[in-house]
Amino acid sequence: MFETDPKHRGAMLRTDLAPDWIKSEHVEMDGLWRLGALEKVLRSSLDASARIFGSRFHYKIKRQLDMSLDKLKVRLVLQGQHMKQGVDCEHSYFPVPHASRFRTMLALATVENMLINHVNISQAFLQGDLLEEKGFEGNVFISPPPSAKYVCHLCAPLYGACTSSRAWHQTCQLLWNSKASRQLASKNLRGAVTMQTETRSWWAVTLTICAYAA
Amino acid sequence: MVGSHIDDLCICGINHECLDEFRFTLLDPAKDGFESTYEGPLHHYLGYAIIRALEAGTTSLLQDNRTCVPKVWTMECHVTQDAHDA
Repeated sequence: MFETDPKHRGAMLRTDLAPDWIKSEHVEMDGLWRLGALEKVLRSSLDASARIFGSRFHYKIKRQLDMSLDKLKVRLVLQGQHMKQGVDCEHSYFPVPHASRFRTMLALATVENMLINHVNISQAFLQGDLLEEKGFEGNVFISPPPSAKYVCHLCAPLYGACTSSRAWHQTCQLLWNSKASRQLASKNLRGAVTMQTETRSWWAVTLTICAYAA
Repeated sequence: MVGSHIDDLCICGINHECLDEFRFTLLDPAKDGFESTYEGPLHHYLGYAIIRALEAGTTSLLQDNRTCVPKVWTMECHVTQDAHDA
């Protein structure tokens, strides 16, 4: 029987993999501090209207195809279920491409005999820019799991926040529409692949900027 | 071509220079790009295992861990797939 993902920190500490999980927690927290996502603030310095949300670690065992252990993934997530639409954010909609788009792209690459590489963006949401929505300005604070007299000011979209996915989408759109990506696309353009099926679709946006080299 | 699914990018290009240029231009943290890890040739994406035979010009997608979808999808040029094939 395979080991299941621990539901919370207490359950994690009771597993045989606890030392490895704790190492992964440190990696996650180091990443957060390095990317400047959090900033320590004294709880007593905040006024009563400060928006403070709880946070917790989320544990996930990543497995390979043969179900052997690949890596232990830990994420600090904000407890965004306490955020309210109309109070903390305007809405949380964010377009995600359907898997059929990926299959279409793979078919195109196969027909054109292209090479396909895989790139994973590390701690993606944290690399996004905070959304600045009119009427929802204001700082968000989180109390990290070992919460004491300090809370953390959120300087980047954290996993779990209702606007994080939208913030990440917006950041990516800016990158794909940047001068550098346009230059890259026009340089390598032989026959542009344009699939404008849904104008709001991120997939369509990315497909339009790409090209294949002459 | 670039496909992105949240934090997973798959980059298609006719040669390695084209792929590297994309990576070094847009995904370089020193040039305001994203911090990323290069995973090499695509072998897993969105839960699919991807097996490519470049000489034969075929790409197969496997979902061994799922039971509700066809086990192997083979995509070849000029071949149409209908519901009965699945």
